[in-house]
Amino acid sequence: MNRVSMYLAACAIALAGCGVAPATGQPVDTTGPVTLLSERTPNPRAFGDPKAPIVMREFSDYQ
Amino acid sequence: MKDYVDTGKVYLELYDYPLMAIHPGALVAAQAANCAAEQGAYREMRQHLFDGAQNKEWRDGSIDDMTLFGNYASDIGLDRSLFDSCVTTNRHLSQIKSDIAFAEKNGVRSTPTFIIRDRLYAGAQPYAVFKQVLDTMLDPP
Repeated sequence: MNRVSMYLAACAIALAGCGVAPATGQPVDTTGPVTLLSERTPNPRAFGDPKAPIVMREFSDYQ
Repeated sequence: MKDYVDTGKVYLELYDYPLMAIHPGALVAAQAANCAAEQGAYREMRQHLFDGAQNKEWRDGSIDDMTLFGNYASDIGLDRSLFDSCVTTNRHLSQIKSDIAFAEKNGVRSTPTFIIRDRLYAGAQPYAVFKQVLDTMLDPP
C-alpha cells in the first residue's frame, strides 16, 4: 500500500470521525442499526460461555 | 478474566467507544483492532494498542500511526496486506458505529465503562471492586 492510498484512507477516516464526534467528546452518530456482539457471528470480541450467568460489557477506546 | 470468564461465570463482551474529540486516534485504533480480529488476533492487537498509547507511540491516527499499527500487525504475525486493506477501506466502521450507538443507548459517556448485567460502572475499577460485584451477583446475600 503506498502512502497516497494510506493518506486518502486516513482522510476518509478523519472525515468519518468528524461526523460522529461532537464538542463534548461523545460520538453521536447513532443512526445505524445496533447489533449486540452476542448477535454477531463469528464474534472474536467476546470471551467465555455465552450462557454464563453474568454478561459483562466493557467499552474502551484504547487511549 | 481467569477467575470469572474462564470458569464460565462471566461472558465478557468488548465494545469500541472511541472518544474522537479528545482521543483523535481512537477510531483508527478501533479499526486496527477489528481488522486484527479478522485474522484471529484481536486480543494481541488490543494489547499492542493499549501499550502503544501508554508509551505514546501513537496519538492522532495519522499516517505514521497507521503504519505503526501495520507494524504491530506484522509483529503479531498477521497478513500485512490483508490488514492494511482492511484498515484503509474502513471495513469495520459501521460495526464501530453500531458499538457507539449501543454504548450511548445504555448511558456510556466515558471510557473505560463497564456494564455488568444492568449496572453501569464508569472508570477503571480495581479488581477487588469487580470481585465484590460479581461474587454478590453470583451468590446474593
